[in-house]
Amino acid sequence: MPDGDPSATTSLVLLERIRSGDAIALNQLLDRYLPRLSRWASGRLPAWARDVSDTGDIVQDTLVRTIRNLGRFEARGDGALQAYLRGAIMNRIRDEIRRRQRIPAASPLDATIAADGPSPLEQAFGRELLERYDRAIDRLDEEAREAVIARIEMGCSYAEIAASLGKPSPDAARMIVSRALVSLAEEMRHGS
Amino acid sequence: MAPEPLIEAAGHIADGEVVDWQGMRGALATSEQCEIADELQLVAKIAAGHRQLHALLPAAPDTPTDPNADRASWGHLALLDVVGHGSFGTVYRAWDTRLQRLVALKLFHRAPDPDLVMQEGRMLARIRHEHVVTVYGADVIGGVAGIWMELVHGETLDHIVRTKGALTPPEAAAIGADVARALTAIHEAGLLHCDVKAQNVVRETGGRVVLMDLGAGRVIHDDEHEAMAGGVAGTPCYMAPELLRTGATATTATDVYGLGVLMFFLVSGRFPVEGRNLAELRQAHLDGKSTPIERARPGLPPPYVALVNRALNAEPSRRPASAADVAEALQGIVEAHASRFVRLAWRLGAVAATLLVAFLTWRAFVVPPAPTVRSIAVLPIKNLTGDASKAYVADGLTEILISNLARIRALRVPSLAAVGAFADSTEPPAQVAKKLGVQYLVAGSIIQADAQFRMAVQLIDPATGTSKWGEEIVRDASGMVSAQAEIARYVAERLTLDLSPAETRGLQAAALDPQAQDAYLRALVLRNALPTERREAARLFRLATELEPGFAAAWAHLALVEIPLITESTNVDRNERVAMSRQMAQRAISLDPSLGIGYAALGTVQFYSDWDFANAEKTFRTALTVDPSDGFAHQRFSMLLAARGRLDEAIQVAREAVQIEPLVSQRAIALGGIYYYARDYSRAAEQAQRALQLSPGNPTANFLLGQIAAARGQYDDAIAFVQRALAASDYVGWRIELARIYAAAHRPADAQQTLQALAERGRAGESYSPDNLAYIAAAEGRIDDALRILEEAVDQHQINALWMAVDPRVDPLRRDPRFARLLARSGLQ
Repeated sequence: MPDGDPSATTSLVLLERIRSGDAIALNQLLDRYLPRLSRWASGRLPAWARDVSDTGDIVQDTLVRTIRNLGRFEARGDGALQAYLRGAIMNRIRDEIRRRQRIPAASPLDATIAADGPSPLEQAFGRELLERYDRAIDRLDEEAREAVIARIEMGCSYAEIAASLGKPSPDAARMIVSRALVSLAEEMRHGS
Repeated sequence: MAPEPLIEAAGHIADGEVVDWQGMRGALATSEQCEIADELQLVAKIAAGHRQLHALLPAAPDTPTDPNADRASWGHLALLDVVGHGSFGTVYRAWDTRLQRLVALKLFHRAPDPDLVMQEGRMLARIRHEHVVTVYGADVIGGVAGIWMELVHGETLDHIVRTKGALTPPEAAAIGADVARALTAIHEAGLLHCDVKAQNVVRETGGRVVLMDLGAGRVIHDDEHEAMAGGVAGTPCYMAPELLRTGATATTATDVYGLGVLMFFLVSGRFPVEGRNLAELRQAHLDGKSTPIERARPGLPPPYVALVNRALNAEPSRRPASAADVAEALQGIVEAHASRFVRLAWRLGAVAATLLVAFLTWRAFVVPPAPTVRSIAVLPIKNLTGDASKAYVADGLTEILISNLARIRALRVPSLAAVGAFADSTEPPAQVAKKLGVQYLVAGSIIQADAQFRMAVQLIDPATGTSKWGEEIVRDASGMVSAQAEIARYVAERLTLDLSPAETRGLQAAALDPQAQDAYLRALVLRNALPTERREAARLFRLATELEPGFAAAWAHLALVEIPLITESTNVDRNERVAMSRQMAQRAISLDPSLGIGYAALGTVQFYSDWDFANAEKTFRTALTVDPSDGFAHQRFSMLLAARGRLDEAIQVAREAVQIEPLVSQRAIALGGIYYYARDYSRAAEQAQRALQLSPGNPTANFLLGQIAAARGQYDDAIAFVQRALAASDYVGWRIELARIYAAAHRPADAQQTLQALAERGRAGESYSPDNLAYIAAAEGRIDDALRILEEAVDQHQINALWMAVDPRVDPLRRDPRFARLLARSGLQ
């Protein structure tokens, strides 16, 4: 994400270049999102897939496919793209878990270890709470959703968030995030 | 529109700051808002979970250095959330921004005397014990005193008893024994705990029992602080009766009383003397109103009852004399219980897989008269985690278990390199033992379930193919390294070896920071890999020492991997790096004088960097006394003797190394190298070939074969061998030797091209030892140049120049009187 620097190439420009077949732009975009999304995904992946290599593979694979298939992506900014990619990875993780459940374990030992272990965040907070949180995130309006994902899940700075949401200052971004968190809590209350 | 307090709290969550939830709820008007606040508190937890992920994993390149620089902090510790309140202050989960790890931080409400806090912090930080929470530091910042320590995950004994009911006597005895050992360590450090209670003992998920809240600990017999010591520290029901008297002081006996109350509580969920406040409690003691333990929990083993009653004696002098005595008595109860049970059989690694044996725990045996054991081999621990990337854990643990056993001087223990060949062997134990030349085998395997490791280990008597002892050890990841010391103690016990006090001390290891342990295990595997991976090994060993400054073996290994890297460093920071590696080695020795590798590291610094040959010889001899089965120390010592031209002695020591570790390719290569220096090229080649048999494709062996061929004038073979080595690892030190062989073979264009490629790599930061240019000059007949470069190399203490007295590549210079003068100046001869 551009660090609040208007001269930096935005992700949307890169996306445009990828559509016209620019492989370097694809790499640049991956460099931009892969580390952050991998860290995020490492919290969401179950134990069997939590290895750095596995996480990286799943995330990279999903990113490449998603970006290539984006076609017309009418996004307002980088934050929207980040939130979109997070959603794509989340879907992929769910697919992987479902797929995995269909594969019989190789041996009894394998079964005890690989049995659908919870992800670190599930382990910490329980599946029920995380699902309620995810549903609430999905119900937020677009800007609030991007703000929460960028700050809370991806660890972006307020300056970055201001740039991606088109806000005048980091302080303004902080206010958007704060209000978005209260909306999130309200949505979670409805969803409980 | 959301009310202001909620928005404000959300702002704190977004900033990663601590929220005062109680205060905030007080400012809310409706129950609906309170419900939203409840949800917000859950959001705060989820946010903290994500922040932990950000902190624990490598940062994205475009992440600002500290995205949460605006969060609440105390010094270098960023406060994450509140984990508890106590009479002394508040405990936070915090992030140590310097060492990049999670810690528990206790901030005191009132600002006590800063000197007192610092003094106490220093005392507490000195205690390193598996069952005592590790204190990292203490400080007073902005008038707020705080102590930060290891973050322990688990349940308090109070919570366990209250939610799951009282423990069985053996469970309680086992936990009590661990707490008593923890107290012993605290008392031995000259401190008191003063607040032994079930709320202060945590059982981690892996089963490790940890005594917490040392903040209440006070210095023994410190008159100045008597008032505090005898004051309110200690939760009333756990307080010894003498503390309720005015002017009384806490002693080790009052801690023993607290331990007695804990033992009482664990089996009954009740207290011997109860009262709602200090006055009631004092009165109850005065009236002698106490509940006998037999009534609180009927049917306890008589030794348990007797021990608790003694610990609870109103008269301090009639309690067990020390916490160590309590530990011993409790251990007796545990063992008496264990001996009544036969453990189930379980499968081990390949060697043991041939025998599915049922065995008793070691405690079940009446120790038979055993023959004096002299040799034992640890077979590579099997990685049964189902995750190939965890192989380094199994390999690292094997190596640590080997080094722990090697501390016992009555034992000869082949190194990991020696036993490595048996990793996938299906040969029967008798044959394996015969090949390794040992009397006993230790086999083990690890499996992992989330944060926990389970390690199964057994001692096998190859003569009968049966297991003499077996144990399953379950630990959090952080306890796995220290568990190896425990296993070594068990093995020694089973083999009825008498350990000296120093050996016993050497086998006491505290649990390590999990990240430090992981870095250490990874580095152990890397350091033996290709030369090009040394930097990563050094980085990981350094990380381990930063996280665990008391980790002697990590310091020694760090010194050892740093030394060859110095060759590749620029002259500017060379001296500094030499001094640093010397300090690292000395630190390892001072932390653990019974650790052989510390001396091997110091000897290497004295030899390679200081060129202080006399002291290096002394240090290597000490290394061999401390650990006579250390093949590596033998090898390095033999290289020192060779450098000094004492080739006969060198060959003898290098042969011993090969005898100790016949299956280790490096030992054969070293012996071959010394034969090469002795111009005995056929024996040299024989050893290099043997190394290749042991380790097919071994690049160092191929490189030695190249040098031998070059010395014999067989340049085409020489080039082919060196290129084979380079194909495995494109190490600059080998690449430059290729240039020399081209020069000697009268292929100046190839030599020039190789040197140019090296110059380019030099600009990218990779450099070789410059003395190599002297050998090239010698090969080209430029004697003056060769001597000048060699002189510089001697002045700069370049490692490779150490063998110039015997190196065949230097032969063209030997007749020049300037070379004789240089040799004298170097101190080599």
